[in-house]
Amino acid sequence: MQSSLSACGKGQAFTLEGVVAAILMLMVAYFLFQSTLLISPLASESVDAQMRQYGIDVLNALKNPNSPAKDTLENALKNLNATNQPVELFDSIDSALPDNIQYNLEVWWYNSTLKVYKLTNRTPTSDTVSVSTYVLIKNGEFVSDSPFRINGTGGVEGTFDSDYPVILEVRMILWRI
Amino acid sequence: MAYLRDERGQIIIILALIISILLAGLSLVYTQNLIAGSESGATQLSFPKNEIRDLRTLATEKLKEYTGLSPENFLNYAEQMNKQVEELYASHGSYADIEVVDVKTSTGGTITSYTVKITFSNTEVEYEDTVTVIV
Repeated sequence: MQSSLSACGKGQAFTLEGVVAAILMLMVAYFLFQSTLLISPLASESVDAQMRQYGIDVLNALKNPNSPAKDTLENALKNLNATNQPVELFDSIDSALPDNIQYNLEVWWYNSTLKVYKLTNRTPTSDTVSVSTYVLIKNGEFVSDSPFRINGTGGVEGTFDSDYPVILEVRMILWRI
Repeated sequence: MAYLRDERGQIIIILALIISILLAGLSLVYTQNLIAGSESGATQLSFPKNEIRDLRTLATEKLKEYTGLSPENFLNYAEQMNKQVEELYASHGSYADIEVVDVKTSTGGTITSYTVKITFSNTEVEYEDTVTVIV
């Protein structure tokens, strides 16, 4: 080994150095151009994820079509009209959410166009997250002056009958205070 | 040790090269790990599992409540539901579809089972499932 390495004279080390330097420079260039700028999840993102989870949990807990309780989403929306606001639902949401989280509740549904009914109208901060859940209520289950009830022509038998399915999207917008 | 005393130092240079290549390789692996980890973490945070779960509930449990009707009425209501679902999900920038592809009836004409195709897609996730619901 020693004889073979030293057999070619003194220039060999310089040649090797040159080759090694070239390889190192190529590697540096490769890493410079290949390096990916990785932005790790910011603190606000994990806070948003936590807030979103709070919202989803609250909506899922309150969605219970078979319960007679007044604070379920289904019962609150069935009985909603201009004078009958879902106070029990708000109470349950308030007690389920942490004190430093505020929310707005909207109901979206489709009747020829997308329509929205705002259950609360608080002013949010600039950093909000929104979560949704979907409930299906039959047209005949709403109170007669419900904003979600679909009247008029259409449906199966010419008019929107009591079995007509109305899908309501309950959208909750949450923010920290 | 005989080589280290060698003034020409070839071995040192070669070893330095080998070590630097090893370090470069290790750093590549490490970088890949970081990217893979953060990608999978972000996907888990943004995966629309609740939207898909709600869609499945509508297509299986809620639509099942209409199977007591005649097949024509059932299909009509399924179509009405699908239209509302499409519009509501589209307002979030995603596409959702509940399509009844098959209805089986008994000799008396009552519905015994139906097959529904559930589709959901947004910019990140494409989901499709076909479920047969037995009444």
